[in-house]
Amino acid sequence: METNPAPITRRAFIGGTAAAAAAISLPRPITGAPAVVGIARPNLLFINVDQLSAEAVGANGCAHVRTPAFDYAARHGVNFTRSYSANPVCCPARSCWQTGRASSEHGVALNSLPMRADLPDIGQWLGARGYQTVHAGKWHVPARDVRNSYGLVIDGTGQGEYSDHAVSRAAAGWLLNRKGTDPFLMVVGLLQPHDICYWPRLNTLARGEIPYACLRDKLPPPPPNYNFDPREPETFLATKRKSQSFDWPEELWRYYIWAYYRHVEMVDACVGLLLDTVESSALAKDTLVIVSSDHGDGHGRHRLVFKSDLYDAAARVPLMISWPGQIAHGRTDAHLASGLDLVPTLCDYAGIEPPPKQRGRSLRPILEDRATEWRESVISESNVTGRMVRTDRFKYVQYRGDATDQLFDMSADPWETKNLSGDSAFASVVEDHRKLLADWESRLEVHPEPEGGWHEAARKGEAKGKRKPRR
Amino acid sequence: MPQPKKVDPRPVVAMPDRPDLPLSWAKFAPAIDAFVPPTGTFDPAGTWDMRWRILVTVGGMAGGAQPGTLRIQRQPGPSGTAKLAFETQVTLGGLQRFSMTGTLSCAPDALTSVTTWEMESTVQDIKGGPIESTRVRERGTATTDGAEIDRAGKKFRLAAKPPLTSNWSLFDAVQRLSPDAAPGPFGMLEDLALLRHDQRISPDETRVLSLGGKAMRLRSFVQIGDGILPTHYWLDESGRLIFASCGLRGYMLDAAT
Repeated sequence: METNPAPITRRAFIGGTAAAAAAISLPRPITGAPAVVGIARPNLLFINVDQLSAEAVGANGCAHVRTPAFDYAARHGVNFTRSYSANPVCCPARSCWQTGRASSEHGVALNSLPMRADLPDIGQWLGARGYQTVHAGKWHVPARDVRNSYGLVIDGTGQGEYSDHAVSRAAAGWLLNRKGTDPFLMVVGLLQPHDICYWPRLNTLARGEIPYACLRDKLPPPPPNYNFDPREPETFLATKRKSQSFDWPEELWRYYIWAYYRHVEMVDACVGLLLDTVESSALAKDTLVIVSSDHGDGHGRHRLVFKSDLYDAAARVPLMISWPGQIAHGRTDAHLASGLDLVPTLCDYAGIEPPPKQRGRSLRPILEDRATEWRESVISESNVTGRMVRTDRFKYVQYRGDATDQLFDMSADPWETKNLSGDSAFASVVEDHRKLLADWESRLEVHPEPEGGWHEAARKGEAKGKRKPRR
Repeated sequence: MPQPKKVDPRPVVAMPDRPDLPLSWAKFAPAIDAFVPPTGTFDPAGTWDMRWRILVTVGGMAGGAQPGTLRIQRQPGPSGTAKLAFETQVTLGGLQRFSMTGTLSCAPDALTSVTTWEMESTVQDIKGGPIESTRVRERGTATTDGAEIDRAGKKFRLAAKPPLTSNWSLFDAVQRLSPDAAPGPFGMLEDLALLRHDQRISPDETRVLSLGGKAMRLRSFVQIGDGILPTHYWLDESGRLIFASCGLRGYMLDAAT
């Protein structure tokens, strides 16, 4: 276990963040990334995958998975290592991507709840302003027909294992066959490694041990936070206890993690197909490519499966952006980024004013290595779990309906094993972070909670089948 | 008085309790129960034409939706070589369909390694017509260090250690593998496009199963490697591939067609 880091005072905290902000605002040397010149309206390709943790990528340090495509994207662009999902659940995160609005605003607080009809999505926005728009694969924005948002739609399914290749191949075909001169926005939603969600139901082995003896020496070790600070909120623990995985033996956890990495490799090859297509064609010189995930997966960290929680395994996602010759090449970047930054970034490069009341910011100044004052904190919210705020050094989590909160020193304890929130030495840090959360919420147009609560509304939506998202 | 059942508050394991079936089949139990055993003789090294129903579990629950089909035809060539022709299609959401067709020339080895291939893929819209902008035609050649692919006039290279085979080739290869064979490591081009490294096949369980009212003695291989979940191949006594499964997918021989 890590040793306890030195306590930090409020003054030191504020001083630290101010210094960090100042450092961010200072001009930095150009690293071979000329500002965009000579291309008025680039093509925009957003490749998104589902349930990929930032830490489950080779380029981000994972030694147990083979991800040449993600690694390539990281090496040939800017790899954001502190990018957070706006909401670590599928539909809410995807609705944030599409609108640039927080999940407590757009109505999709949980899967199956409907998106506000009055909010434009990025397909509609750019489509109405001269962009050809194509959506391929997973959509998952409830109560919004993707066919009313994008010009061409290639459907996906709920099982990435058999449809991701179809989606990526069809999208590659469109890129190769493309005619016309209008710039395009193409969004490709690949489903893997999301199939891991079905794995526990099918592999919590009522009949005994892992069925493949030859795998025993291939299973990755338990993660560093397999054992961790048990002071989690009771509401959260209660959910954990109900989970199929609650009493898994260590070997089954390791088998789950092994299987998760195989799912990641499945989608990596599909991402590679798309990146190869862009690179091999004339598209490379005028196409901004963004690769990210809607959220991550617990994959055994804190003995969790799936998402909805706010630990980094679920909330921190890969974000790689590339455009050869136009933005920085092969840079690892620690600025705090959010899924809410997608719409402002796309609009910035398209030269189009974004839809009003964007909650994120364009990443363009960072991508082009221009001096800018950047945010000091980033929020991720989950109506299942609560809210988190990440600052340069700390991460603070508040839970819904439970006073127990969590504070982690992400510099000294990146695996989030020691909850410092009850430590009086960190009381001022907790207070500062609470204020950051309160300040964030005060700036939102919060969508009113339905009568009976979000969960009840989501259950009704699923039962009626009226709000089922289109894949 | 019957005792009330204890209720486990956790979600049930989706795998049905079917000790009569191998573990890798259980999630497809409803479809397996409708299996019609093949008749007649079968020569895995000869000329054959086989179809499998593609099964998939939906929502991680046992069932066996049947979203597609796979057909492979084998034609033996000189000196142990073979040509395989394949057709496969699956339903996407929104009732679009994705199809791939093509031919493979294969080396005379245990893995039916690919030497050259041609294929075409497209998405059909809800009315059944192709969405032409999604059509892809390509040719591929295995090389000493991987493969070269010409896709719509653009060249791609994939680096892999030989031998290099494909998922469709393996449907042929396993039917001719000796029961104790354990080939690997090898590379696999899934759908002739997605490279999977470090694959190995090894003999697995042998069982007598009652299928379609007939007792069938089946042996199996399991394939494990990067980018795939353990893949099982189940063969009857003549070597015919009855059932294969990988993760959420299953392939059940459709003897009726």
